[in-house]
Parts: sequence; C-alpha cells; structure tokens
Amino acid sequence: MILEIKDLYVSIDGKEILKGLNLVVKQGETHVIMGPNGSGKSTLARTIMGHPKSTVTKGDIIVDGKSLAGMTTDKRARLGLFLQFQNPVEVEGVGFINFLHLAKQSSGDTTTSTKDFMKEVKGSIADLKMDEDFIGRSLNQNFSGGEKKKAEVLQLSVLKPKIAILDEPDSGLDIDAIKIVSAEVNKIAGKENLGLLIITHYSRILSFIKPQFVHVMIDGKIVADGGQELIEKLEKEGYDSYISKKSV
Amino acid sequence: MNHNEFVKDAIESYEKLPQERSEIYKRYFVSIPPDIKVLDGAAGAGLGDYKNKILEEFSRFNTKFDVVLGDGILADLHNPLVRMEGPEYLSASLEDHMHKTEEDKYVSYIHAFTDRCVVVDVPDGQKATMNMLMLNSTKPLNVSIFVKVGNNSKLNIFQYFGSDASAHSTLGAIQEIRIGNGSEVEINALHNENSNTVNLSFTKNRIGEDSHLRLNSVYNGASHTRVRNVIEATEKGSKVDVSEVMFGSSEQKFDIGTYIVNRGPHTSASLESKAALMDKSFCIMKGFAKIEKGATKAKSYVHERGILLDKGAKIDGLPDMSVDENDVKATHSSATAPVDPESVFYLMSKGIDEIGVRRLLVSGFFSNSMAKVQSSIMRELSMSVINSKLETKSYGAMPKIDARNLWITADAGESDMFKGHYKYRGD
Repeated sequence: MILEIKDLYVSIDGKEILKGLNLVVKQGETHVIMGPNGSGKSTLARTIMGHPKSTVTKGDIIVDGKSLAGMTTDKRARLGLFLQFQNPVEVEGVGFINFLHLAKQSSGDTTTSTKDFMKEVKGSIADLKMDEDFIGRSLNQNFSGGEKKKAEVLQLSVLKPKIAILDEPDSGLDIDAIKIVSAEVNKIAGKENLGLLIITHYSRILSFIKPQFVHVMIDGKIVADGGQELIEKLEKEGYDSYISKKSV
Repeated sequence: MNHNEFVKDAIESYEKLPQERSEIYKRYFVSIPPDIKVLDGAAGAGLGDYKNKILEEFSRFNTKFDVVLGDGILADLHNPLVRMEGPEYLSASLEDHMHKTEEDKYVSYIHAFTDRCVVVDVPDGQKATMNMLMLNSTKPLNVSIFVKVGNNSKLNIFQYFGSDASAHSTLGAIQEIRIGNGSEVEINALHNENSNTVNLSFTKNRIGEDSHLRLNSVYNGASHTRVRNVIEATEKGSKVDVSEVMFGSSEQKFDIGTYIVNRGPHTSASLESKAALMDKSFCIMKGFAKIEKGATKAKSYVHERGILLDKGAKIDGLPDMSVDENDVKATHSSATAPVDPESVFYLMSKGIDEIGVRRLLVSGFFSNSMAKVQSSIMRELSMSVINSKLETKSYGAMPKIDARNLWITADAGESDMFKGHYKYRGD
C-alpha cells in the first residue's frame, strides 16, 4: 500500500489548519512527524481517516492511486488504514471484546473462528502485560491513560492494517509501558510489513521505534525532511529555528 | 353498578383525556387516534396459521409456552399453576379501579372489555418458571393477568406480545401481582407487536416482607404504546426494581408512566427507563417516585436516559419525586442526548460500518438493563428484535434469535444495580 498526501489544505469550522502538506508513506516504512502543539499533526491524522469536521479545500489523499475523497471512514479503514487515537473515546456499555470482534469481522476476516480470535486477543494481552479482565470491560470506559494506549495497540495487533497512524502513542505511558508498547508495535511492523506514521512532539518513543523518515511539521505543512540526524537536531535545538524560519 | 353500566362509564371517562394524576404530566401524553380505538371486540379473521408459525419459530430455540392467548381470548394452558377464571373473579379488582385516581379511568377502560382472566398461582415454597405468548389478530386481545405468589417462593415469567402481520387491533393488558413474604419474582415482557397494533398496558402490585420483584419490559413494537404502572414496595424490607427499555423507529409513539412507591420501612424501589429512538419516533418517560410517611430508611431512585439516533426523534424525560418521610435516601435524574459523533468516528475508524456502529451503540446503551435480566430468552430475544429493527427499520416480524447476541450474559450483581458487562461465551 502507498499513501500519498498531495498539496493538502484542510479547514475545520472555517479555520485553515493544513496548508499545502505533501507526504508519501509506503507499507513497510516507518515515518515520524514531529512538531509543536497546534501545528496540525492530529488534524492530519483525522483527515486521513475522513473525520467529518475536516474539510479538504485543496489537494488530495491517495491510496494506491485512488483518491479517498468522499470515502467514508469505515471504508478507509477497510482499505488497510488504521488510526491509533491520542485520546480514545469512551463508549458506554460497548464491550471491548464485542467491539474488537465486530471490527475484525468488518476487516473482511470471516475465516478466523471465534476461538482462534480469542486466542489471538489473549496472546496480545499477555504481550502487552495487560490484565485478562480487560476482555470483559466496556470500551475505554474507566481505562487509565496507559490502558487506553495499550488497548489501541491491541487493536492494531488484531486488525492487522497495512499502514497505521499512531497519534502520540507515548502520551500517558510510563517508561516501562513505553518499552512494552514499542516492542509490540515493532513486532507487528516486522511480522505484517506494516507502514507506520508516528505523530509526536517528544522524541522519547523514537528510542524504541526507529523511524527511517523524519518530518518536521510547523503551521500546517512539512518544513523539513530527514533521517535520525533530524531527531538529534530537534533534541538539541527544539522547534524554534523552524518557527523562526517560517516567520522570516 | 352492573357490567354494562361499568363499560359505558369507563368509555366516557376514558374519552376525557388525559388520565394523569400530576399537573405536569397532564401536558405530556400520547393520545390514541380514534380510528384505532377498537377495544370493543370487532369481528375479524383469527390468528390462522400465525400462532402455529410463531410456536414453531420459538421451538427452534427450545422455548415452549405454558400459556397462549389470542383470538380475543383463546387459551392453551399447559401448566398446572395457571388457570382461567371468569368475570366474577374480576369483580373485586374492578372495584379497585372505579376512578379513584386518574389512571384508574384508563384501567377501567381496559378492564371494561375483559371478561376472563389468567391466574398464575404459585403456592408457598415453590419455584416456577413459565412462558406466556400473547398474540393479536384482527380481534383485539384484552387480557387480565393475576400473578399470585405465596411465601418463600420463586417465579420467573417471560411474556412475548406479538401480532399477526395483518392484525389491526388493540392490546389491552392488565397485570396484578400479589407476592407473599420472602419471595423472589421476575416478570419479563417483550412487546413486538406490528405497526397496526396499539398497546395499552397497566401493572400494579402488592409485595410482602423481604420479597423482591423485578419487572423488565422491552417496548419494541406497536404504533402507539401507553403504559401506566403503579409498583410499590409495600411491606417492610421489600424491594421492587423496574426496568423499561423503549426502542422506536418510523413514527412510533411511547407514553410510559410508572409510579414507584415506598410504602413500608426499609423498602427499596428503583425505576430505570431507557429510550433509544430512530426516525420520527417519540417517547415520553414519566417516572414518578413516591415515598410515603412511615417508610423510614427507604431507598428510592428514578433514572431516565435517552439517546436520539436521528434528528426527527424526540424524547421527553419527566422524572418526578414526592417524599413524605425524612429518614430516606432518594434521587432522580434524566439525561437525553444525540449520538456522540466522536464515538461514531472512533468506531468507524476501526472499519465498522454505520449499521454496525448503531448496533454497538444501541446494544451498549441497553446493556446494563439487559444484564440484570435473569431470563436468558428475554435477554437474547430482546436484543435480537432490537438488532433486527436497527437493520430493517421494521418491527413486529417473527422473532429470530440472532447469534451475535449470544455474547451478552447476565452478570449484574445484586449489590450494584448498574453493574453489568459483556462476557465471552465461546463459539
């Protein structure tokens, strides 16, 4: 799968957030977008998935040569796109396992038996060092911040998308949990040839998930591209130099 | 007053709508259109093959009925604890409903056309479960059900209310429940009548010391539903829990008025009403809690929740409370909202289509109510008819168990009435 974002302009409630963004992510690659708060990173993630409040005013999002314009969110997911939410929504009364089973069936997997599905879920729960009573709980309801992040990675593990967008995957996690989550993401990426687009403003998770491509996003567009050296530069200098460049 | 006078009086009283005790409630009610006011036993085709078909369908999931009522009053009785009684048995009950309150006019109206009744009689120390099938044809079904339970007994009843596809009639159901001391009773009613049927129902009870009554009702069918219940925790230490689930589509109208009453000391009474509405359906939830003088240490709450699945749907939640005793715990609440668009986006982003999302949200919304139901047939069939309506927008069709609902199990602890969850049950 190839995800192409071409000269993308997006507004929310009339306010322009993305201002001519270009990016290409291929299956098997790991990209990271870094940028300060408010630069439009999460808007990009939600726009790729077709959030109804994101209005594309110019440009396009293309998957394997086909435009996603007008495509509903569920169809985008069934193409093989996945969004790990920064703040997963709590859904009252909806059992986590019922939700995940329906999502798995919706992905087109009708051959996995319920028994094998449960075995797979329990395996991932063990890998993520989660309590097995997770299965019986309501979706994200009364989950701690760390549990919510782990639940998203558990979905990633079971749904097996082609390209996953991880929106702030480390927020709310302690250092041990970051290691566990990263190890699981790396395992899935290696096993499933997963493409990753990680969105973060801290570099700490990038010690555990090594990106090949690093992009700096300021004020709705990519202002710099590079490799690991760009992360080191950002660690030393922060985003100020890019913000200054923009203002010049 | 003889029976004919009673009928004439009842009709005249009924026509002076509304029958409401509370001044606020008088402004909120669903009137029954005059053209479908057919309680007077119009002639018409009977149930025909419908009864056999529905019995066959239920037999697929190993459910047999102890009582079958239809074609006006036609009874198949297959349980020694159930019998039919004639009009003389009703007379005492009728006297209870001679317009002492506004609701009594409504009850009298239904009663006026009922000349026989079903008596469920469970003696002391006995455990019983039973299934009752109530079917409308073009003839109205007017039924009085007396449930009498002795001391230290257990009873669980499942009632299915349906109607033949061609039926165009009224269901008038009155239920009176009398429970002795130390007994546990659960009565489950699933209404899945077709869109040409009007449902008028009333339930009242008396309950002995340390007994527990649970009433679980799912209103999925009928074009118009008007329910009036007076459910009381009568004697010391008794407990009543009422759960009402309304799921509407097209232009269905529900008017659900339930009074819960704490009469004795150390009693507990709860009412949980939940409505999820599609299309242009409409629901009024009138939950009223009354704590009488002398009901010391009583606990009472009324909880009303609604979700609107479409813009044209409307819910009026009117919880109310009247407390005449100081040493009590009491609360009431009401909340209604449209479906949260962020929840929809979240679920769709995982690949679930719009119908699947609605199914998850609605089943999630009703899950706590369902988890408290002990009757597995009630639990699973209720979610099946609800899911069927979500997918087809129609209701009243032959019920079919949907295997997707076998995930739901009851695990609601007595200590926490809102607790409940889904649990894996295997292939």
